[in-house]
Amino acid sequence: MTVEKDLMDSTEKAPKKKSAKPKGRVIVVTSGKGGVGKTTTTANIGTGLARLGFKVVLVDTDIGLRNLDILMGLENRIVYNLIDVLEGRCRLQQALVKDKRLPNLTLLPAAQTRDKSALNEEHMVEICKQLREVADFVLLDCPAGIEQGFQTAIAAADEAIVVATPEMSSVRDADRVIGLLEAKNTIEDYRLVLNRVRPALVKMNDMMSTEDVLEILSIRLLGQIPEDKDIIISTNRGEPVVNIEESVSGQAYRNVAKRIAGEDVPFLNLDEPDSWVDKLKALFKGSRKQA
Amino acid sequence: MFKQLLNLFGLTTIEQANISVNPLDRNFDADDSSNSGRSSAYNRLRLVLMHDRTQLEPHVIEAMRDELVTVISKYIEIDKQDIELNLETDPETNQVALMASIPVKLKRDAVDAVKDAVAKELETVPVSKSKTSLKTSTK
Repeated sequence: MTVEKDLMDSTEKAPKKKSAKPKGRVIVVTSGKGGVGKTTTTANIGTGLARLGFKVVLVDTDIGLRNLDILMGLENRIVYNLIDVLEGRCRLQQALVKDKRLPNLTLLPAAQTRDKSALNEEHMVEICKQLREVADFVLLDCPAGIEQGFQTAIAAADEAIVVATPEMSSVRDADRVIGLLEAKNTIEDYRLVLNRVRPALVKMNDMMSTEDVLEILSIRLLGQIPEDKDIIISTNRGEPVVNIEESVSGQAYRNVAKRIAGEDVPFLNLDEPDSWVDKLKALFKGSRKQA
Repeated sequence: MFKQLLNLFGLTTIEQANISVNPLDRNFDADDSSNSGRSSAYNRLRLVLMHDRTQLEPHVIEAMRDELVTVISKYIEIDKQDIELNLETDPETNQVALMASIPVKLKRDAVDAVKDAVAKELETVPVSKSKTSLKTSTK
């Protein structure tokens, strides 16, 4: 397992950004519950950071259930994977798949035909040690659950991004994950990305607000991503939504990337102006309640 | 009916204006009651997380309750039926506390004596006659 220094040589073309840090930051994206948007968040934050000019490596640690390649639209370019590297069938550099657009963005795919026992904590630490030498950011897409796969993924991370949706089961699982992250003293910092926020429902008091979730979890917010059909469309095209300029969720992810890079970006106001239809619904609901 | 209403208001801006100044707009906030989806999710979740975080199962709390009754009964007569033992969170500090409300039975003359004394001292302050609360903090 060796990583060449010229691994990401083509980054020169991308706009250079500060980051005087000698070694890259390893950030794990985790949630406990499945299906809340871990992989989507990893793909978009990683792409967002690469758009800012940082060297980024995305690592899919979900051995046996890989999906990050699909979200990045790179599924046809995979030759080797993480387990091939560990078992000496290729060098680390050979397994890294270059992004279609951004030369400073690469993916280290998971093995699809193996299971999570093929990867252990020492492997993870070793891989990340090598990757952080050549990248500004190493983003680890964590498997769902809090078992060995999760423990393996968080073993090498300096920071964590907890992804949750404003639903009870997701928030409860996020709370468990936060407890486990706190117990892990190698994790220096963790923040929340609240996904699939639906401002219209919050306004009607049908859904917990971002503030509600932050209060319950006692966690700092990294970003809130609105529920957005653009995400489905872009996923189907194999293009992270962060690349779609006019998309609201894309904007939200671009802001998250900037915050990770240390910029102070105000949180998006997701409130849509009251449409008269909303008001009518509210009116209707109110009168029904009184009846 | 909803659809009819929509159609009714659907097409002109004049109706939109009418709706936006309608005093019934207050209904917009009227949902902020304890039975809105948002607040019930919020409150249920708080409770669930309190048990998750303290790792106290309901039956453990029951056992603790029974032991407390036994211990306290050695020293003071209490109303065993009305004991409440709950985990609560201080909204300001986020500190979880184990709150025990243990009604104390006082003898008739004692109640009167307390009443008299209280009446003399603090005539304006209402006092709950025989309820005493014990508070215990956990982590």
